[in-house]
Amino acid sequence: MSLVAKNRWTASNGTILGIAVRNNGVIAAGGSGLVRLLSGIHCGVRDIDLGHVTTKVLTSTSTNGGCYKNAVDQIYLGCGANGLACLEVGYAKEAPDIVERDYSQSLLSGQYSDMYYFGSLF
Amino acid sequence: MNVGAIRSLHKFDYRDEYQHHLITVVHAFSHQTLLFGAFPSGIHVVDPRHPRGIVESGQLPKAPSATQATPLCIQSQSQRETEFLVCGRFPSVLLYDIRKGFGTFRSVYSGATSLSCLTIGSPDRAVAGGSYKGILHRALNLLSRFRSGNS
Repeated sequence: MSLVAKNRWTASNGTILGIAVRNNGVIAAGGSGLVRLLSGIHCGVRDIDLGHVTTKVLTSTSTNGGCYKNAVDQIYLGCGANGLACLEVGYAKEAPDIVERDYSQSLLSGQYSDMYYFGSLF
Repeated sequence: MNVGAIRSLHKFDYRDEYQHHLITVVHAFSHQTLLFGAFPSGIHVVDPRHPRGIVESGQLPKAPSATQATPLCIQSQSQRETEFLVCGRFPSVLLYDIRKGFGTFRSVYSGATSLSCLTIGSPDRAVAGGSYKGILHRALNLLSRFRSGNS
């Protein structure tokens, strides 16, 4: 096995502390309080400002073999001493034309639908 | 749902060479093999079946001027693979083969001062994230993509 590095630098005020893959994209979060959704590693799709340092990122479907249909995935975030947060990424559940749509690309370009913040747990 | 401890692991004896080591990352490499990294620069293989627990230990490579090369993340692709990636408070991502021990590894330089997280998204791609100190004395984020193939 060989290794080849392909760097992608993005200016930010914080260090990346947690990353996870979702479909074709990457979810990165860290010390700046932002959760950034990227298509691949090149294009930022959406920034979500949580206002809390995020130290861990976990997706409910980290690799699903390219099947994006009807996917509304959860992203679980560990926010240091502030507790846990859950992001839902995908098209809105109530969208009428979403059932029959055949997605050809990652739903990272979809709509961020809701966020639940569980408050301080520790 | 009930959660309980069904098996206790070894309590390692830290009175000798591991006296001042702090565990920074634990990774279940397989059902019977655990990897853990420790501050300042240790990496260890644990087999719960072994009487001593730790079956192999090694030090991560570091520059002479560096004070530590602490591992912060260990990832392997699947339990069928024998290779695993390590990143941490050093600028490179290291590729080890558990069959060859810690004396032999491959590395790729990222340019970051520290890589705090690593994930494997597909069989040929891993992504690492960390921090970089640029000439503007400002932290930059790093996303690196590593492609592997048979060689």
